Amino acid sequence: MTDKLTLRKSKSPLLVPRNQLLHSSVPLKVWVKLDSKSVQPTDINQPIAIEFEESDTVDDLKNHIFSRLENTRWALENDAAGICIGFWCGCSLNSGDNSANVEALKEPWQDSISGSPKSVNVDLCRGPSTAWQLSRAGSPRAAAPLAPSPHAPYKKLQVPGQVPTPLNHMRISAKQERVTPSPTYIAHSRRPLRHALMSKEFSQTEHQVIFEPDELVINVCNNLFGGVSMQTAADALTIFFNVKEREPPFLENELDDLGIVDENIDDNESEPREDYKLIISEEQLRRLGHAIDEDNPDCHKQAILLLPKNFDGDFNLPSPALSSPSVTTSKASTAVNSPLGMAAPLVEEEIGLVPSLDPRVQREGSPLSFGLEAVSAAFVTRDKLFPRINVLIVEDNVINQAILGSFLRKHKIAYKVANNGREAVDKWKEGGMHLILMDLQLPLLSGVDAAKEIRQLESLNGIGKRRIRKRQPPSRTNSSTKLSKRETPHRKVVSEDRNCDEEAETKAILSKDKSKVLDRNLFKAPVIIVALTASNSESDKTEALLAGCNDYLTKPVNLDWLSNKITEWGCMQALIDFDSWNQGQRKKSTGSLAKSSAPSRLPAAPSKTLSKGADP
Amino acid sequence: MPTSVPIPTDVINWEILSEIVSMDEDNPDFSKELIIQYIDQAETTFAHIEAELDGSCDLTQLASLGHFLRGSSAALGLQRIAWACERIQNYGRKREGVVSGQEDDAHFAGLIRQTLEQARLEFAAVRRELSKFYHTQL
Repeated sequence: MTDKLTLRKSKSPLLVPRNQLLHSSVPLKVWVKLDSKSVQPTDINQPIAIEFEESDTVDDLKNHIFSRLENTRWALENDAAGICIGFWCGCSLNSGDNSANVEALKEPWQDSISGSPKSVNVDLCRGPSTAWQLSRAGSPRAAAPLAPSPHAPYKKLQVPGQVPTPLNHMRISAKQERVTPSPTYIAHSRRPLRHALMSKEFSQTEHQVIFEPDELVINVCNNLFGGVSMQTAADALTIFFNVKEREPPFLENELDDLGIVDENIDDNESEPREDYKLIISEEQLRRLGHAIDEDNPDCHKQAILLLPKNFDGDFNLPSPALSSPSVTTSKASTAVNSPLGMAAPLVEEEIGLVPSLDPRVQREGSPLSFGLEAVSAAFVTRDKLFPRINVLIVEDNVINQAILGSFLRKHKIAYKVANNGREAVDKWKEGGMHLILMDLQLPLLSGVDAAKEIRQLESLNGIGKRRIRKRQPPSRTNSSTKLSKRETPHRKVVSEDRNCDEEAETKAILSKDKSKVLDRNLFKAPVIIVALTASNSESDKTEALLAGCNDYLTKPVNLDWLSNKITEWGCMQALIDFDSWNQGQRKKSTGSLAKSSAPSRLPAAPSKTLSKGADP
Repeated sequence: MPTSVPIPTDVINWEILSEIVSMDEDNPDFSKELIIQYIDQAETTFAHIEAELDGSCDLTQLASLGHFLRGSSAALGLQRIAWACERIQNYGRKREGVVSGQEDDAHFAGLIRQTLEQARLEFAAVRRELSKFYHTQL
């Protein structure tokens, strides 16, 4: 072993030239395949190449795998927390000649590993990239010295014998007589009932070698294959999943024999999502062994993490905790549990707190003098909360009117009905409308024309224009747009110089035709128009959007979508109407604040200087 | 050119109609009254279409009648009627049924008349199915 003390992964002359990794232009790939022992015989199981980045850990790789296999049944039945990546190690198949490879894999850690299988002293104080942990899974024998050989799986996959895989060439120079446990791998045996404790016997077992989730994929590739590009599809790493046939992890007497309590064991092979227990003393381990043996021999879900008695590494354990194991166990296991306990239902407090992190809520929340608690409380409500808005249904068919009306009534949303485009414009002019659901094909005046007319009147009256000075008397009609020439779009921010002429012009138009004057107290912002298009054709949608509609729904209107639109746009309007809230006129609508989506298609930016006023 | 849009298999799209029926919770008989209203509307509209075909045969008017009934049929999930109405609407606009481009209005009126007959058959089927559903003769 001494001859390897000098070997370091980074310094190894053999490894460095193979590290073709740092070419950012070349995508890094690793071959993986599903564990052939777990897949259904009928399933196709081809190795797949997964791209990863230099900084990706094994956990990241799992996520890549799931995004790659998205929509496959396998991906639906499994999740990233429930799989492990590793390979099958069949040490028995090649007992002698692969020890060099074993060494090669272990070399970065050799110096700290004692030769004795009885007192494996794993140095845990390394960084996450090197502190691969030895662990054992389901079998006491695993405590015996392992020979985790990367060579073996290729024996299995290929012709038995000395196959010149990259692994064979890797670090051949390293020699070792004795097989020692490597901290590099979590190894699992598949033959749980054997009592063989000696390394020779154990080495005849085919067992799983599983990588630590926080190990860098790139290191795995470099160590196993001598470089990222050296792996072939036949060398694909194995994705272990859903392994059910497991035995109770530990038997007490064997543990005693082995004295493995100083080891760091992480058994999360089959169902890592399940509860974890943190074991930090031999006594606890023994107790647990009893519990598993006696109470629940079929417990497959128990995962165990063992830490050395005097462990002082960089686990997130409070160090005083180690002095009183019985107390800390529960605490620590809670700590380990909570981030992983995905199945645990969220408590209401948690649900309520999430939206309060929304900057919008915080921003809007403080001036309104309701605390974040109020927002949280509003969110706990299970019923869908709709903003308090007024909706105008524009529909010529009474059946559709009845359906939409009934839907809005059910959700306590105030609405009016217009039978045609003309009526729509007239009812909108009465003021107070936040949202118009506009059928496009209407008698008298089509929905498209009605939308155009509404937008013209809005711009004529300067509704929704950003005013530079607040409450400036002329700004009330600061738009110059004539009805015939729609020239507003390029004037969203009105310059004062131009204002003078244009205001005069607008005033003239408005004074000539009083019917075009809108009461600014009733029109705080441009109304949201959601077109109801009968067909799915792009031209209809485009026409609607060009006419000034903000959005569209295809008929027949799906009521779920409708409620989403009402929420989205209604909350938009509620936000625009912020001033009236500020004056305490609409205290009850706070819940809608946090749910609003960002403005996307609002034609003109809503202005906070828009005048106040209660809704009619 | 026959239409490329295939007619839906089921007379009623229950996914849509169930949404309407679910509103009965707040308003008993809401859906049934709506269906009765629809039946009345459909019969009236069919009569209007037929009168238009026999009278001035204004294709634009026919198209808008087709569009009108299509809206409520689709909203209730009566998808085969909605399909027929869409055909009537498109024939009225001469968007479908064009073979050579030389067809006169009578050609489209003929297509509309055929489609109207089909729409009435579908309507009868809908009535039967809904009568069964509501246990009433609708």
